[in-house]
Amino acid sequence: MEPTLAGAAGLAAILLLLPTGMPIAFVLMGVGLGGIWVLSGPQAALPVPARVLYETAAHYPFTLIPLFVFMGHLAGTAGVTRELYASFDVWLRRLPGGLALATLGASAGFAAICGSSVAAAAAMGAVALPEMRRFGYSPRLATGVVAAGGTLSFLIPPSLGFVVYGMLTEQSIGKLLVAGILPGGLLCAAYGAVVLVWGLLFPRHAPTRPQPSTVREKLHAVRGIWQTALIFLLVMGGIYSGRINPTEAGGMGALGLLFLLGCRRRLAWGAVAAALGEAGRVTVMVLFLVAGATVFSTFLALSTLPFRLSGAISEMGLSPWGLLALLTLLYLFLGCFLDSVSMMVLTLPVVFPLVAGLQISPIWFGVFCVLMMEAGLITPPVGLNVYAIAGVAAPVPAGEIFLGVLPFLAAVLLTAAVLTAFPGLALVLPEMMGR
Amino acid sequence: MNRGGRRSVAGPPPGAAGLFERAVRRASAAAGRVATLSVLPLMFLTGADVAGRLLFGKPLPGAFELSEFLLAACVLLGAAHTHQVGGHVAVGFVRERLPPRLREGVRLFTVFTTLAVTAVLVGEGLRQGLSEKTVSDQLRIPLGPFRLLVAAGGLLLAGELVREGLEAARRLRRRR
Repeated sequence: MEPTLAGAAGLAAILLLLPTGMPIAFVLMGVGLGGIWVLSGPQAALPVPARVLYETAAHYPFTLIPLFVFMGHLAGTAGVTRELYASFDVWLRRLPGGLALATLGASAGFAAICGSSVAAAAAMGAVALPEMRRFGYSPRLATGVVAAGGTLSFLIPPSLGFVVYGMLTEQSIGKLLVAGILPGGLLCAAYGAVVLVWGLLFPRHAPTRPQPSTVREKLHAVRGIWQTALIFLLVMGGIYSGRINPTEAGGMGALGLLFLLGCRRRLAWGAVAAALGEAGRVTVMVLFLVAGATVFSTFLALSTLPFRLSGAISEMGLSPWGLLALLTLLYLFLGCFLDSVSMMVLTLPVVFPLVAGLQISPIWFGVFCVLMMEAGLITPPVGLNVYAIAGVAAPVPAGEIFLGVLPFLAAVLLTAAVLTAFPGLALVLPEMMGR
Repeated sequence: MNRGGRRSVAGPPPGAAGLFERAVRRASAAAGRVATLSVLPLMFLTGADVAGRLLFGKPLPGAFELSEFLLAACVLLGAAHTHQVGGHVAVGFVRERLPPRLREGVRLFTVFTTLAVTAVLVGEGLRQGLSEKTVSDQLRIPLGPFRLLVAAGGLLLAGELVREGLEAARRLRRRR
């Protein structure tokens, strides 16, 4: 079979198999295996999946995944979210939409130690939604802000999104994590602006709290943030200074949090066991996906399809901005059906060579890509964050939550536009690393 | 997306099939516990290595290799349990909207297709593990047993898939 035709047939097979409910990792592995078999024969094809799976599962840099997930989950179950929320509430309660702003502040703070957006949204929802309900916030705003706030965990380091992107494209995970800091802050500010405008335009949706907080209370509230700030500094400070690599930072962050919680007598075996279980499950899920994508990429490389596509796009004279606009549309569409890691794993083998061919910085594109994945977390009908919130926000219907996240989705797109206009926002910190 | 929900909806049937399904469940859960627990030594090992290097200028010998082995154990032994609890991501919402009989038929198809890929993993994992004669660079630990984890994990996963297939077949029969 002609290689390019085989590559196209492989892509079609994936599109056919995905809706059957077959695990995506095995779809990619199976199609990749079949494709290599067709192009190079069974002797070349059969050993590939087992070899790739072992090499992926025993690759030292990937050890940071269970460590980051363990740290984030443990923080969520040990009440870190509650402390962050209480602190931000004291500082922001007098502003329009103060409780929603506190939710965003706490989500951003939690994102600094948690790399999983669904875990962050669920943990924050359990804390913030009852409070907002008690003070008469509209369910649309309350659930929308929690679902959107959870997406910050995917951009603000330590982020699982950057780790997976780095794995798939062989970019420095440390640089990618550092690159997410400023865009993460920008997105948080954009979300804050949405809440402020919403609170000003529709005061009935976000009643202002009557009792002001004193300066003493505000200073006291800072105590709820120090633990998170310390872990973030340990992890990101270590990576940024070049003294420890991201994997070691994951280990130090997890150990540091374990130590802090132990010192404060907040460590329960049940919480540790649950965090270990989640770390194990997420690691298996992500690394099987990466192994599947690697087998599939091997097949695609043999088929020469990505290079043909790259050549065709060059001949079309498509500018980098044109390509980015197309990719934005593609990711928004895929976000309706796929979760973020699956989206990356499915698209990067084809998309990354195109991006590299147009001389777009791979670190910058990593941030752009993660931002688009964030949008996917809140787009209907499969916004994972929305369903994570729906579980704790009952009886608010998922449709109402989707309406609530729409303005925040616009904020994600606006942030992507600003990032495209000012790429330095993502590149300035990585360029200064380890100087 | 389909994640987090347990796949099994009914208890195992009586007889040999029930015995097999219970054994598979227990084996997957036990391997899953080993996989999960391997995260703890991974964390302490990384911490000790960094502390040794930064405080005393002496990293822990072999920490790098041991971390890789622990991660391999976590991923490969945890695959079956992750499947049991619906942790492998899949696009489930199309299948869930199908009529019951067609849905179970499609489920059987996906089980067989996944099983075919897993069979390749088991066979090749076994062959590669048995033919692997090298040792790790620093601690001189033989790599063969760790490569065999691909076959071991694959075998557990295959058991889970067969169990899921039997369940789907039972549901399909009930709906006739």
